[in-house]
Amino acid sequence: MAMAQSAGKRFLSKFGIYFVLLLTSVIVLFPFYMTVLTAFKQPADARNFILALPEKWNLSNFQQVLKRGGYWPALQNSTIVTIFATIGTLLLNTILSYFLGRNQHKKFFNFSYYWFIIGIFIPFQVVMIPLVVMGKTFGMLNIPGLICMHIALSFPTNVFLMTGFVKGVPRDVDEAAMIDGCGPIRTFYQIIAPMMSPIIATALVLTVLGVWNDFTLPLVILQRGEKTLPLFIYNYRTKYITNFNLAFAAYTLSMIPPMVVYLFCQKYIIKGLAAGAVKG
Amino acid sequence: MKNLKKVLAVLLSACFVFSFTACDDSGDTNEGNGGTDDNAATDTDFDYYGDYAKDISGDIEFYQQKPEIEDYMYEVIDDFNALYPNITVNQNVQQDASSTLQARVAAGEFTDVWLYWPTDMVWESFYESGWLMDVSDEPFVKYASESVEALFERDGKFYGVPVAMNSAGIICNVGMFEENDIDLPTDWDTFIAACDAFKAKGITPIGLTLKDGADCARNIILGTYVTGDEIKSVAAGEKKLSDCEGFEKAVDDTITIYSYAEDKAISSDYNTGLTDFANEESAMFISGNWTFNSITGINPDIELAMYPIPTGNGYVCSGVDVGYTIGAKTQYPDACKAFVNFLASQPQAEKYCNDEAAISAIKDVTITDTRAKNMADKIAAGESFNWPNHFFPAGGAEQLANQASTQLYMDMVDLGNEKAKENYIKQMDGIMDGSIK
Amino acid sequence: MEQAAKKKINSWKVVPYCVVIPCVLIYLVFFYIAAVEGAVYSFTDWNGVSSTYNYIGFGNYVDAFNSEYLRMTIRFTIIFAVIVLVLTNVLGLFLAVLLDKAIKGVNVFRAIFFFPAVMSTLTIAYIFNQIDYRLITLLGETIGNDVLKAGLFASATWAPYMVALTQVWQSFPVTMVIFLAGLQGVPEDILESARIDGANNMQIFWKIKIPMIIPSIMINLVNNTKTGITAFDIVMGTTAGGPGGATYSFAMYMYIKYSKQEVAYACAIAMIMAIIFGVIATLQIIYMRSKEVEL
Repeated sequence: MAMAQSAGKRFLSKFGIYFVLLLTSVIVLFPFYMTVLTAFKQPADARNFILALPEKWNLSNFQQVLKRGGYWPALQNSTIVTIFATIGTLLLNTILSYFLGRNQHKKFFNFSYYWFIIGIFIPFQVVMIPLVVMGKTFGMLNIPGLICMHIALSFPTNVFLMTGFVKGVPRDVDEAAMIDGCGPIRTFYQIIAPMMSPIIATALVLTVLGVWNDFTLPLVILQRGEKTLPLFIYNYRTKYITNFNLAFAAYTLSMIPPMVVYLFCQKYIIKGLAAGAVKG
Repeated sequence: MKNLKKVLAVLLSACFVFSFTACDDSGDTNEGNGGTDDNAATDTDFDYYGDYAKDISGDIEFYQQKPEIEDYMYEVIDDFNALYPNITVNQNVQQDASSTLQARVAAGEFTDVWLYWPTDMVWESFYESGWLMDVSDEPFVKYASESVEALFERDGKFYGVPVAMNSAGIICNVGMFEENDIDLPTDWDTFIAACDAFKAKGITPIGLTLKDGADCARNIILGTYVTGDEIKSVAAGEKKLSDCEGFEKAVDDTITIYSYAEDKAISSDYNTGLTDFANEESAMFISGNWTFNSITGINPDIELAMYPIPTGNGYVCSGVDVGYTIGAKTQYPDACKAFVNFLASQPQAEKYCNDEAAISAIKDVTITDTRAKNMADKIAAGESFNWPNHFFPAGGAEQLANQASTQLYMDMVDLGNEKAKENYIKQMDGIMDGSIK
Repeated sequence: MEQAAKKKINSWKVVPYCVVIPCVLIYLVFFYIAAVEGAVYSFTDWNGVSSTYNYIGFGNYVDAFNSEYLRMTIRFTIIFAVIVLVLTNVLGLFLAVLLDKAIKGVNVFRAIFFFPAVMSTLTIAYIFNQIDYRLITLLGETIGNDVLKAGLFASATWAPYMVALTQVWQSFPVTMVIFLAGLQGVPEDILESARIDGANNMQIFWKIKIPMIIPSIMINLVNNTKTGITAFDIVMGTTAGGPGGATYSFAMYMYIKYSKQEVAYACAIAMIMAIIFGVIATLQIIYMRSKEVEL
């Protein structure tokens, strides 16, 4: 009797779990369904129910978006910015966090630590406008400038995450290296960095997602007509372009590259993101 | 999981392949178009292009904020390059043209050729900071009709050339009027009667776009009651907007029109409202001639007619729609001038105005498109006024006024018309004197 | 030989400074100096275009504190930040706990749930905007509900919450994956021995699992705090600050003023934002240090 009850209960709880998970899947997938569907429709289809299938499946919206141009350059710009900003962010932040984490008993390093992490709670938008003015002074209102600013503004969260992790790496490791006559830079790259790889992987994924999807910074920094993908999308939503099927085709196109990357690297992305979450 | 991945991968790569081929196709058609248009440009007697040598070279940016004419402009640039092969024109279409351009100016740069409208505060501020080139001595200044060209005059010098004027009012779906046997809105009574008749038949009379507050109606109505000079003196702080005689009536008429809004008008922005109108979900739409091509692009069978909003003095709201200004610090002044000269020449202006149902600012242009004829006639008779928002105080006043009109509608729903009107008048006064920011 | 060793030891003292000081300087320039520059502009009447400006003292601040919109901005920011921070974490943890159960198809669900994270916020905002206008209004008409009829993003009451929920929709996947990793990292033997000691599921969850996933919690809190206080694209794409200013985030308010040639005023808003968040940040750090939490 007790067995049966517990089996029933277990069945119910399993059923409940699947129900919740399926419901969430629907909520997650529904907007995608609508986007792709709308991208295939023609404006005349708007007379029908919005979730109905298009009267005629065709790719003309996609063709028109590509014909209008801007997609490929935007994709290229986004890729360049993401790659370089991520590399720069990781290179600087890892070694910085290593030294901050190891020297926190010294006043200067302790001060520096707070110098960076106060930025976690102060949104970067506070300095958005002055950055534009400064960007001019340094000739940075372009793609390389955007990359530099992404890197410069990446310190707070990354220092916070990585310094915390470094403290978990036993000190004996570097002391042994020091006694062996190993310099700090070599110690870092050969011994510490590999040990930090979980948090680096997490930071990598978070940085890539953050930079790729960032809209605010490119919006104010890029002015010479260069666009990243979010800006490309933004321009599609102008006050005057009324064909929203076209806009949805553009949204769909902007979703394809990250989706492709995600599908092929899914395992690594999720593993990477997850790595830092487990105590080192 | 594996299968899902495979299926998706195949689908996505299919999309890519299609898009690549699509790209190639469109490239071909483009060239085809360019070729045929050449002939149109060359069959006039007068040589508009003689003043600028064909071998001028340069690499210039063409900065504009009318995305609806982006494709059209690419063709124009092709035509231009057939004449001036050594000038590269880079079209840069920006959504927030004025703000991105302003950020650039903060950085000490401007653009080469700028499509904009004068009398607007943004244009004015660039003029005052010396970013705009004096083109008084260029031949193309004389192409334009004097009265419109005068808008570009500052201290006896000209800082640009207008090509086309817009006009805004009630755009009607003629087919829907005929089908329901309703008279077109030629005056206030027929307008209200039409609204009531459509409403009675369960059809949305006016596709109002109240979401982003970029509703043209209240702006145009304001202009039919309050003159530009009065608004200027309000902006200068000499009097309150509520002291202007017609303002209260303008608010009353705005409220009357807003009362025909359907529930989802508050969710409807310019894009969705226009799409819905094109798909015959509403019988009228309050906007300007620049929407015609977007509308027919969605619904080629629609028959359009435009009437002024019959309030106040019943004049037509009209301003410069396309005007060209050259950056004072451009690296290639000759190339810029040659390009603007080309754009402002009679053949190009005629082509543009017929394509866009615009009203020409260039002399000797014949317009065969009759959709905006009611408007053009009134403008020709001198019964027109410039966009009132152009005279608003510099800065965010226009944006706040947009928000205030959304607020007006929300208050009408929540608090009733009387209270809504009171709030709105108070708010507009605050916006105009700068106490609301 | 000895000298070389000494050199090495010296380098352990010197190199950290050589690395940290440049980084401190970069951040000094791009954050602190920029902030000071912004503070200077906030006392002027600069419009962003002209080459000259006048100092007008606290004029911009007086205007700001008299502004209805600043009040709305603060209100929206609180609603948005709290919902994003709380709901994203709660939802992320909840789903992670479900996925942590040994059930079939965990990987499929995890892969599906992650979709929103790889999309740009702006795209998501536009899509939800359309869902609201096309679908929610239709639903409202069908069931005859006045609020739904007009669309939720157009309701001054509902819009702030809807914008926040849209953000949660995008943010929960990353949070969930990080929690899930934390949960899966809890060693099985610890759980086993707890069960033998007679602990029930609830106790195991609160007393053992939660303390064990502190690193995940920290990452998620920081990440979601950042999302919660920097709202911009999500607002731009859904409501653009409307209706009537009900969804002005600080960044939105600033951007509108900035793009309408009221740069100095925008800088004043930025400074108010900096002060509010700066005070919160300092209090937080002091509090955590007093509790001797490793920050």
